[in-house]
Amino acid sequence: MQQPGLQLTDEEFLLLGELIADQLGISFPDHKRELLAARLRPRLQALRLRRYYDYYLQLAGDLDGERARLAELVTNHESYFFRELEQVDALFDLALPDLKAAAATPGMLRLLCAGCASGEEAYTLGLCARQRFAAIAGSTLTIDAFDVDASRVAMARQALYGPGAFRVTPGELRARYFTPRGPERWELKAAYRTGLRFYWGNIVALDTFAPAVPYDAVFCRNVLIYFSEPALHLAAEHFAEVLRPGGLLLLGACESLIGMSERFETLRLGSSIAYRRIGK
Amino acid sequence: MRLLEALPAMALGERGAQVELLVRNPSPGIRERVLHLGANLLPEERIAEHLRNDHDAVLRNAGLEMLKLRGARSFQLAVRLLADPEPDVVLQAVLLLDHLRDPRAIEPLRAVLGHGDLNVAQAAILAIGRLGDGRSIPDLLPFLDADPWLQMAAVQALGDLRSRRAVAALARMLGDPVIGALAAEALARIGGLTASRALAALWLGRAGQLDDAALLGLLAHALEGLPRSGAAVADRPAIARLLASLGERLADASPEIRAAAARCVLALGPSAGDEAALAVLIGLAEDGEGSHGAEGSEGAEGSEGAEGSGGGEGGQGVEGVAGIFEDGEDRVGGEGGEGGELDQGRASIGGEGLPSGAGRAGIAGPPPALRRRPDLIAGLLRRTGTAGVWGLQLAALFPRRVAPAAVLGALAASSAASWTPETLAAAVRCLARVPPAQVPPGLGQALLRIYLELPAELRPELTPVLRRFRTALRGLLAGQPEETSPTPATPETPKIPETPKSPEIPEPSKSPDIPEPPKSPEIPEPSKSPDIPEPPKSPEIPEPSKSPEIPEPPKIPEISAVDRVVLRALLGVRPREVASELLLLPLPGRLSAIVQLAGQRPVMRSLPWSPWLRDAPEVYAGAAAEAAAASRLPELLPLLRAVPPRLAVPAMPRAFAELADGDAVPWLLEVLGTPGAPATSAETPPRPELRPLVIESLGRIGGAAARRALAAAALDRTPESRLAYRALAACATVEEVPLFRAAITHPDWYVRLACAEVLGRFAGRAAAQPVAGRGTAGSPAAAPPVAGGGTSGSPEDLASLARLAADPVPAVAHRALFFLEG
Repeated sequence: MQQPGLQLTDEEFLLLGELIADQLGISFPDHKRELLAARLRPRLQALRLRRYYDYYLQLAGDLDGERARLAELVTNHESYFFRELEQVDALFDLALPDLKAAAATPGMLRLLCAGCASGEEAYTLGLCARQRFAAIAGSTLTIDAFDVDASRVAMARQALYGPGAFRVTPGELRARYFTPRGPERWELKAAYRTGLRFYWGNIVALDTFAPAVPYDAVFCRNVLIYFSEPALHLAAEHFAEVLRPGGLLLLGACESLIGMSERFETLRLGSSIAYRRIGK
Repeated sequence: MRLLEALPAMALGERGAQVELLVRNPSPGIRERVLHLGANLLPEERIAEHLRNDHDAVLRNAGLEMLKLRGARSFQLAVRLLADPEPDVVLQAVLLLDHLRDPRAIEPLRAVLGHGDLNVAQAAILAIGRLGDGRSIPDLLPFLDADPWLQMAAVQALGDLRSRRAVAALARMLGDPVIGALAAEALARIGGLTASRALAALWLGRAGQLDDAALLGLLAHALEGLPRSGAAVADRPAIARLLASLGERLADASPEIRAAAARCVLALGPSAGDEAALAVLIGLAEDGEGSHGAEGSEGAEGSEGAEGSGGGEGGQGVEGVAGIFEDGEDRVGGEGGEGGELDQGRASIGGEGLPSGAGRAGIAGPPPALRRRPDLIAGLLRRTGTAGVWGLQLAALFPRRVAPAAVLGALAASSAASWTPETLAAAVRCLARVPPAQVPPGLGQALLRIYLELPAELRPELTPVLRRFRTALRGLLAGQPEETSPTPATPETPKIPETPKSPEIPEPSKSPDIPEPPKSPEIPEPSKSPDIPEPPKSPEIPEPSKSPEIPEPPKIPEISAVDRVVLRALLGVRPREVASELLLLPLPGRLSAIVQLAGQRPVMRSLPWSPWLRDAPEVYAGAAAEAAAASRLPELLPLLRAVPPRLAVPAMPRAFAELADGDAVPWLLEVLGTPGAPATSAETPPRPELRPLVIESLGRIGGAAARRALAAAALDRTPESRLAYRALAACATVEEVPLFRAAITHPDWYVRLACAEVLGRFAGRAAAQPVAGRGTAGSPAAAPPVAGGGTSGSPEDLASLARLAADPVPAVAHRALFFLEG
């Protein structure tokens, strides 16, 4: 049910789409117009606004910090543990020796998870690394993870998950790594949360996640598919900035960097594709 | 681009030549724009000449496109051209009439069905089908035995016309390797028992040899559209074979096949396969919900459409398919256009195919197959998640098929805190159909709990239901135990609750600051609406004693003082009483209650705004502004204007704009300030976050002072400049036209859009009397047309519009073309 008259006009769709693309890099093409309207409608109702244009004005002036809420409304939050594991396996089984050898900081392996949602992917990286403790031996692994939705970052820090996060997780793994916390809730055991840091950041705003020391590998999977083309170029440039030469960028299976940046070369990692940061 | 801009000013001969040149431009954008311009700037005869150009396909096609763009103006020409000696010209004319979809074309098109050129005849057959006039069916049937090229067109057209007379012939074509698939699709669209039988037989005979997913989908579509026909026949041998075959497909690797098989199983009526089929559909819906939320959320569109088109009980309610392999009577009426029913039962369904997940936007509506199975509602209501929501949605569609107690039980078992808007909408529809005279035990408690658990922004949706059961709820709020509702003994004597007296209009406040308000209309009497349904007469309604036991509802959370006051107001307690209770609330709660009740005019008018705003404007200004806008209280405007601008909050400019308060312009200008300069008043610090809102409000209010300020803001080259242009466009007069004319090459598309709006409004039309622009929707296009005397239009403005019509941003180009073509 919606307020009578609460319809997204052509002009409002263009304005809001433009603002969201500028702020978050996310694209809402024509066929996602009603999706955008549905995502924003509850917020308009909560603010007792009568038009989507009023909400645009709220965002334009960043009234009451509304822009910070925008990410929560329009970003896709779905994630789960051990998703697209073959790529993670490829990183640790095939690329690890080279990554360790050329690490930005000798003895440390620094990974970045960009667009981490509520942390499932970042924690998965950590768990997979622990499963290969022998191969990792000699290096200290740190994983930084950020997301533009502050509420998701908070959830990641809590590390408390429902059934959806375990849709491909074997029961034995869940039992090993998680503690039941009430009906259909599981908490990642504290031991497996060490070495991970979650914070708010925005892929299109480099200053929100640029590190002091470059990363050895960046994961950004199933995030860029929602980006506009200009934002894709920007993301590619930003990832190039935060990676050391020779560092690897791993995207989702449906995503590609081809044609987006001259600062990467494509390489095959087993059955997966990765992008190596070139240059010095 | 320069040529495009210059077109309107050219002489006719040169204009035509330039159009012919520009239609070959490699840029699709340029070609599109020149077609639009040519459609409006070239004479009809000149365009028609292009249709005769045998040697130049580009020009010929351009001619057709321009005639299409001219719309209904091209109808008479098209009819004339049907008599042209050149078959290619006749063909273009048929295609043009097909595009126009003018019902007057039916007779001219029927006249060319016998044209010697197969292409013409074929195009005419298809065009007739798309016109949807069933009177032409007899003309098309003979083509089912004609040349294959025409056969295919006839199959398509008869499917478009939902021709039952064609079913037998189409069924015979199912085995044809060329036309069979088309015939199957046409049969599915036509629907009915005979068509369904034919498709089922095809499935049983040739499953695995065809595109199973497509065929099963067509079969499901046909079965779901069958009319009410009686008892289930799942034990008939043929049905049994069909169900067995479908059952195997419920575990198919393809989700499309699984979904279609599940739909077929459910549409065939009660059978042992129901649970498995339900599990498939629920699983697919939840899988779609679980994966990419953004993608899955597109199901939100489908859900709204499905909800909206569900209709009432009218078309559905089939429990089984009687004699699908027997010579059962096809009870659907005649064919489309002959007093029959196009898409019998199907038009009201909406949303076919996979029930898509909806992520955070909500669960999609129940699949069409379930809308034929009200017998499943009770079972669905006992479940949680997607199944439970579908149960609620179906219960809302079939209120006489499910006991209110069952609905209440489902609501009582779920937590409203996790409800989506769709779930709430379904729950509200269910509850709205419960007769107030037959309130099941526990309803009041359940409603109260739901209200308190709902997120604040969803609570208003429940208000109509709360009012419907106000008696029970008021008692609960007063601490009385909920009464057991009387057993509805005799359906012929429903108890109508006593209508509570309408609350009196409160005495206006005695404060000297608030003027005597005008008499407000009485609050309409409730409970006499025609919504109370006739008592159910169907013997299928379950006896209350047989309905599932309502689980012990969770304890109602403690009702806060704020919620109590708000609820009492919603339940119709006298406004003065509510106002008094509101005054007793501590401050944070009081403001929260005021905001929640901002639209309750009698309550708002009973509050002491004058002393509040005088003594604590920083506390009450926002609430007062919300009340003023929501309840339309112009008497609050002077009090709000007296609030120092340094205390401005967003609700205030909105209220001034909503109530078109011209006297608020100085206040707004004070808040607007000047970017980069010290505040005009030592007491008014800059408020950059409010500038967009204030600019927009000035545009909605209008007036000379507002326009001057907006013009200055537009030229300031700040991020808000675009908003200033837009706001100025909403209230512009002829005096502002030069400013917009000078901005048609502005780098910001939004500014150019405003230019198109203003230039279009004034170009060639009477100039404006200044209008206090009451902006409506958020678009300059929504601004009211201006009227007055004098002319400001000039060739220069037309040229500017033409230039904007060539804008690379489609929104700008279309806006300019709208004015050029109008």
